[in-house]
Amino acid sequence: MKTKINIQIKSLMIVVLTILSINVYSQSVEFHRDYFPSDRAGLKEALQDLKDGDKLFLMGPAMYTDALVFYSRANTFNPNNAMLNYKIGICYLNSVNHPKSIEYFEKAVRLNVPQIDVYYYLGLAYQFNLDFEKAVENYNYYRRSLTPPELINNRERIDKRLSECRNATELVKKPVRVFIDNMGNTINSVYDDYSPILSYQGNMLYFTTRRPIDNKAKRDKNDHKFFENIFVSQKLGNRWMPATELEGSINTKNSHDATAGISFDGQTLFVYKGDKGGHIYESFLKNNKWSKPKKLPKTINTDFHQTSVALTRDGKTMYFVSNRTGSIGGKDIWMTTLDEKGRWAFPVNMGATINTEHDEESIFLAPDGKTMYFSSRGHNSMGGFDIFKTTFEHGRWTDPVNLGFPINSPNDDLFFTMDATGEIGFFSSVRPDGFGGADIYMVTFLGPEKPVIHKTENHYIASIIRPVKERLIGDAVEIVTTPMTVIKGKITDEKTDDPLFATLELYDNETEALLASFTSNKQTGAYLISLPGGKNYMIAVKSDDYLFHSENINVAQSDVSREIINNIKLKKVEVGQSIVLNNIFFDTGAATLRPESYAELGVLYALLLNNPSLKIEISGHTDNVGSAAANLRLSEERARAVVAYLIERGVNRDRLTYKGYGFSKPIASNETAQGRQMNRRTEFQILDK
Amino acid sequence: MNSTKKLLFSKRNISAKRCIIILMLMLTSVVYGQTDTVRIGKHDPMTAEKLYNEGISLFSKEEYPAAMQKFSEAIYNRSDFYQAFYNRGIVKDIMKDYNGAIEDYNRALILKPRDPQTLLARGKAWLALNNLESAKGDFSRALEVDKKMHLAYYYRGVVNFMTGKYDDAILDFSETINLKPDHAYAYNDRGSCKLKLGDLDAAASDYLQAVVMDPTMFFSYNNLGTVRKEQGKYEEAAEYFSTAIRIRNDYAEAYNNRGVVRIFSEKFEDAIKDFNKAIELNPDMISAYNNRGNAKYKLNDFKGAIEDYNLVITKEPENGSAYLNRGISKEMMRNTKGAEEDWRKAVSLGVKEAEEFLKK
Repeated sequence: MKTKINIQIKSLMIVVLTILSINVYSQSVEFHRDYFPSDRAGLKEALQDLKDGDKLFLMGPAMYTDALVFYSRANTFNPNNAMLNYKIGICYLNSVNHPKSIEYFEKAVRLNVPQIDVYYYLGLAYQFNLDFEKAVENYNYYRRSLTPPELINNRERIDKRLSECRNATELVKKPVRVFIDNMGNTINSVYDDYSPILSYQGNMLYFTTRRPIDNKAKRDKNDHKFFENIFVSQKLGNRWMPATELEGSINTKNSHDATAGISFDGQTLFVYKGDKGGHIYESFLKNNKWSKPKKLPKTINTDFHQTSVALTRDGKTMYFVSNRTGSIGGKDIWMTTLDEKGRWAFPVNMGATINTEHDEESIFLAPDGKTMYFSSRGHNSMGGFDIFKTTFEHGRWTDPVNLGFPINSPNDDLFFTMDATGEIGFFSSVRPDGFGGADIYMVTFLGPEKPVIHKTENHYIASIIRPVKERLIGDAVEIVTTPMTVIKGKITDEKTDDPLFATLELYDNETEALLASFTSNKQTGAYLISLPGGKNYMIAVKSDDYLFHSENINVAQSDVSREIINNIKLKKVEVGQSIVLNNIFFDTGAATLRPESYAELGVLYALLLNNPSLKIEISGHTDNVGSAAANLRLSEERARAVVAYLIERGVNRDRLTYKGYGFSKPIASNETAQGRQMNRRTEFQILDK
Repeated sequence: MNSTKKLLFSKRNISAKRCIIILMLMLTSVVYGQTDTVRIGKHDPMTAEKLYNEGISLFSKEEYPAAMQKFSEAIYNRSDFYQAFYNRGIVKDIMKDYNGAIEDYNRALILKPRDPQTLLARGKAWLALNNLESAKGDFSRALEVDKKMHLAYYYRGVVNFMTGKYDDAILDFSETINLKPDHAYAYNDRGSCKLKLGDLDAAASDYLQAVVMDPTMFFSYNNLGTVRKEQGKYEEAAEYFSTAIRIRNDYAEAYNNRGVVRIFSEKFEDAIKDFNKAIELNPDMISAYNNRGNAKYKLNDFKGAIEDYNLVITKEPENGSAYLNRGISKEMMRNTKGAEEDWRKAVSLGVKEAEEFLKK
């Protein structure tokens, strides 16, 4: 299992050995007294730091963090040493803080560090930092800088990295909808923590850690990390409790014991043990305790390296990882089935659809039983191991699909597992937000993207955004001379002389048609009406709380233009008030109402209609031409005719009385024609209201 | 020479008198605040027609208040002057006093009932007041009198569109085109009916015909862009929106719409630029804030997105879409409770999509 984490160790070690043998660099400030003549003590101390750092550096990535302590001190004394910057860069590159390596590699380049592979590492640092353009630039520069024999040795890894950058560029463009959360320090430690395995109930998380179990914990001589052990954390409510060492006889002190898989029913735990290359064991849950692990048969465990295991729900098919003979490349996924006698058959390689010339690792069979998750350095990995998914359809496994960014990263992403709902998964990765080394992360799948609602703006109707240009205005008219009579004046209260706001309605007495309606000025009571010739007009003046007033204007067609000043005084609606109805017309010497009277009678009718309690007297008056008796009779008949008209229109007869006064109540002199005309009149008086 | 001088002198006098009269009219208007009784001056039997014609002259110079005054004076001098009422209505219409215009059209129609031109004008005023039933009635009555009145068909089509009667609207716009084959607006509006009915190819065809008839119709290009967006042809859509912007560079709507298709094309930064421009041109364009929020969401700038949705909700508290969108961004910020509250609010405002989100 340890080999997965430290895959680059060997190549780095070679590089480091080369580095240490070189002492002279251009532009670089060496740790030499010539450069620090006045600080020999400081130089001595820095040289010691370098020596101590190099000692740890040579032990491999597990010691890089420790080496950094010494290197950093030396670098504070002399920040311009190309080789030291290069080594610090490598230390950071192999840590969770890998973005920091960029500045040291860049500086090493500026100081003309002779290690050509600094460009390879710089490419790697940029790749880890998701800057694929710069990564490609540096990989290509590295390729161009190699001699032909060097190129032969390095072409494959450069091409692989370039291919990863291409894959990554595409994957990062379309990130998958997930939340990724570090499981926190109840699970993770500053050491490597990986290979999470969830119990079938989802409440126990088993995982592998390289933290020391106790003060006597031993390290693997190959990578100087503590031996692997299995820890477990229990979920209470929504919280994972601090992880503890798995009780029982699974963990051992002087060898690797790691999680390798679990059966669907959660009763069998597969354990990796690092004996003789690495073999798979199985442990059974009995009385809540895991039994002593038992090695799987030799059909599965060979002298090669076996790691991860996944068992189908029926327990009859097993998938496992091995680099045995027959692998397509490195570690592959193999399959074996249980025969009728309960023996595992000779394993079959899963084939080129799943396995590649690179390593495959960490298998997990989803609860649906037909979806397999695994990690691979091949396919379209975006760097190191990526997690892939394949499903068993129509008798074959489909082409693996990269789970996508940000589940996968340019670093190693391994050991994917998920809960029964399929909504939560776990995996391990080395990321800048980690606690140190590999950490366990939880992935929450958000499902398909929830579509946001966009709003567009349209102008569907042309004439709304840009009104129709059309000539709508009426044409000019020919000017013809029309004699006009203009009547103007003021409308005031009879008693107070205050100006009144009144409505002036202009009627054609012949047709009774309302020709127009005007108002007087509110402030002054002024009005003005223009009347063309050829009509007999009635002007009815009305104002709230006042009796209406009527005027008769007969304008002949032949009349010349003239202006009449006519000030009108309105009387309040009060008992005893009377007004002259100027537009009541009778045939000469008779009591027959002429049609021209109907307009004014209509106004009178409206007054009675709007004031239902009003009681009035209609009175008839004559001039003094003729006998008193005849005039008295005529005036009474005319008054009665008006009342009869109103009754016919629907006014209750109780509200109406009439009386003829003959010429007994003149309002003007009977000596003149104009005076006699004024005396020939019909009036009404308010009797009750 | 003398007579010319006299004439000039006399003309100057007349001008001076007119100025004084106008000044007095203005003063009295201010004092009285009422035009019906302010006319002062010696009566001239030809005054009504003269004033009316002067009104037309002022109207052609777009001096609308002065034109209106002339038409009013003409009416005072001749209360049965149908054309003066009609023209004053037109002026009020232009000055957006639609109720005043309708009053004048009413008086004109008393004097000349069923006059199709006045019915058309009154219908338009009703339309401006969004009284669609009255507007449609007037357009239909105008067509009863004059069946070849293409504008009455056109505007009735507009009313039918606005009331969702797209098939009837298509018939009216088609009749407009029959009577006036170069009527670009009718093509545009018929295209809109077809767009609403989902007949996208036919809609595009009408919009294209509209811009052939009148290449300055930027809004038709905008509509064409919308059709292409609906067809999923985002690049083509963006081109049409760009064309609309080239014709009218302050066309905020086209910037907004281009931004939307740029979201679909995953050009999120460009989309934000377009929305910013739309907002700069029209700070009240709610859609642009909403869409800018969407672009920010796509860029994983959930905080920025929420700020934009907040702006929408502040300006338009009943905007259900903004609640739905804000909920999505809140979810991405791990604020599940806030997200669900927003989606519930969206549901209460009639956004059905939010129901699905709450189920999950």
